[in-house]
Amino acid sequence: MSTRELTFAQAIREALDEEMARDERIIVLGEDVGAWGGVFRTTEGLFQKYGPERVIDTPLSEEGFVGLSVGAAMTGFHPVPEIMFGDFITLVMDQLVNQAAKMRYMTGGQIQVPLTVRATMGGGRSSGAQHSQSWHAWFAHVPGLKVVVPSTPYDAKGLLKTALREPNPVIFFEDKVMYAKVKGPVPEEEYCIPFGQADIKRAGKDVTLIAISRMIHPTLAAAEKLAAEGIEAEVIDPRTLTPLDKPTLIESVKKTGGAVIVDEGYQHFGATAELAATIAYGAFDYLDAPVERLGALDVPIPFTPVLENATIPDETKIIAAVHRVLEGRRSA
Amino acid sequence: MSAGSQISLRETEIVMPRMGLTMEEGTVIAWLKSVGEMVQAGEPLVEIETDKATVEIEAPANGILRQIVGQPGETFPIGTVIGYLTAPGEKGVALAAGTAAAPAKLEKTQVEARPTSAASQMPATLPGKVRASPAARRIARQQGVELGLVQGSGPGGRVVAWNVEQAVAQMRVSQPAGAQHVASESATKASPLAQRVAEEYGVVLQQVQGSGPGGRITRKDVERSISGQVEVPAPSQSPASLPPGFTYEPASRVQKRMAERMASSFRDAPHFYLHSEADCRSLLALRQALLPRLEERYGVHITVTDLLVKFCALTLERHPQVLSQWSGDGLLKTSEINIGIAADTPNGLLVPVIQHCDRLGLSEIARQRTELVEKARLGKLSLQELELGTFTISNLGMFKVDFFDAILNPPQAALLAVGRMKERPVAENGQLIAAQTMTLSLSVDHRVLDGVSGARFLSDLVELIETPGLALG
Repeated sequence: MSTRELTFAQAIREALDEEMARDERIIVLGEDVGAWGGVFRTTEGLFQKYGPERVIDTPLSEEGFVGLSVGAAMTGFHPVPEIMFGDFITLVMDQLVNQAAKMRYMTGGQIQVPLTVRATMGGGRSSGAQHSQSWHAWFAHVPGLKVVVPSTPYDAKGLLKTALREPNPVIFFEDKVMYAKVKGPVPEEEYCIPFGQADIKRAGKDVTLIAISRMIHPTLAAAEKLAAEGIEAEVIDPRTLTPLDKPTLIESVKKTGGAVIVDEGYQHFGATAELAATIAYGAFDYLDAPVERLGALDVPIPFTPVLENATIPDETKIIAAVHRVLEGRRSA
Repeated sequence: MSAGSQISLRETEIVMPRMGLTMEEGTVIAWLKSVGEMVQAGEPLVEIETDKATVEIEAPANGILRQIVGQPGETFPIGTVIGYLTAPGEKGVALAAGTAAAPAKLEKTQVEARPTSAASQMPATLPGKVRASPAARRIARQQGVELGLVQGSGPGGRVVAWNVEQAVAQMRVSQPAGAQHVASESATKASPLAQRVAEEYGVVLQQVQGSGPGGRITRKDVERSISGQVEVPAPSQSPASLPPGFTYEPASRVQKRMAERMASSFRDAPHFYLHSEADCRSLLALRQALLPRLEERYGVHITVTDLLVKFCALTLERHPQVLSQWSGDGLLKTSEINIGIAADTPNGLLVPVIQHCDRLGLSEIARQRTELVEKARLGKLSLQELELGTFTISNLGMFKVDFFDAILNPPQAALLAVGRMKERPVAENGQLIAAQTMTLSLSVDHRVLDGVSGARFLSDLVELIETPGLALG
């Protein structure tokens, strides 16, 4: 098995390419996804390879091209609309929540909606309050939608290939900071990663760190520094929020007795709350400290980098949270 | 377990419940289901009379009422089995009435479960509220460690798993080999609420059978276990031979309770009494003015008693020491102004309590007073509505009683006895006039308050009655 290093964007592109070659029902559509190859280069070359009928440049109208995608999915295509800035997924809530998520149920399974919506998330690029938000928790709240939040090129490719073979709507969130900056090994051989399987990115016994999407990276960096203090942190990536791999999270906390949950979405009523509740319920008798949650501060994401960075969890905040969880729990 | 050994696993005992801190026994008034009838958990099953109230007890589980042990009219100590529920299809049981729910086993194993020599070497924190993480609690349960004896190193002194592990290691070192404490085989799971209740009552959780999901111990289980541990007092007996011309009637629970409490209060609390006569003209004028308006606005009928409750609350706010209670070798202090009103009921004297009177307006006091007194007459007061009082008003003003001294309502340290209001001669500026007055007698526990403290309270109260405008501040 030979392995190369790909960027996050390259891994996404490769998954699209492979699946489009395999299944001609797959069409890609969105703003600048065609001839120009996408602003984040995730559809580069697909237009040239598969032509304008399968890689469609659309007007700046999320309502239009996502609504069109839902209809196309119902009539036999597997559309992959791209929301260039995930913030504007607000414009297609009705198409996704009331239409795509409900059709299979309301028709007694007669109509399926094989739809993979790709959307970006995450701040850290000084893009301002309307181009930096992370709305994955909203969709995890809706029955009928699957929510994928990969953190590495390997996971991104394997999970996207699974999404493109799903008969049900999937919202696939890609943290835009990772597209060019995160590189990682991706085998040349074909593989898919099933939904609902968390990945233990680092094994440890003293505390469980659960991080979503890009937050895995500062979390792994924090774990490295904690190791120097003699703290063995276990780092877990749920990879999909719906379905959620509860047993892996619970078993880890049963082993370590404490958890810190890190997410770039807002902390208030966010994904961290659901994960914390899952742990509090499943590992109740094993908790040695309250579960710590780290999310974006409850403010619009600031434009200025100094303030923006202060609103998002980072390595320092994660280490501080681990120290709170472990306070008094070990011999000094 | 002796007589209970015939009970099949799916049998649910219905025991005389403990419904308040002071409850020791209860009387079965009526079964609301008959033998063989299906009941749902939570459905009213049996009516129990305590010294304070008649309460409907809910079925502890789904099933069939298989057997009634406690017949109506019979009195049992708390924790006594008074009946059995079985799941459909289970065999019934035969048991003698009044069998206590396995107390012997509880006591024996409880002693075994406590570490002995290690305890004295571990730093002690105050018993009762122990802050400990769920993990620490789980390990403590598994290892039989008393959490109250473990020093916590977590935030705010929270006991964490590591502290318990250290304590276990210390125990192992300090106890000779072979004499090591044997922990219970299975880990005991308990809800945080159950743990807190268990700690408050000193119950060892390993000895409690859990009925929650996966055998988790719930508060109900702990309370049931507390009931089971209480000693069984000898049943009261009628005199062997009656004097000629007398008949004997056993006291009702309320009567018995009144007798016991009043005797202990009069015996233990050194009473003294402060007397005053208050001019009621302003008070009556105020009531006349408010009565129709409050009736129209809030649908309540305010009485002199309601005004007295309000005035006492205002005065107590300024004299919180009157709310204190003698306890052991010290004072229990509080700022809770919960005023009880002595009420005559068909079952005897009851004192329903209006809580937090200082926060209530006159109309709300009147509304609650009406509701509570009505409930008291119907015997429907809950125990909560009878407990927690910190001051009592006893008003016999509706009788031709000019004046009386009352026995303190234990453990309270002060009580206001109110005689009838009537026209009496009053000297005013050298003239003798007729005016409505009321007589007041403040009973005081001299262990808690001295004469001057009581006098200051009564003076301020009388001033408020005579000049009600002071209530405006």
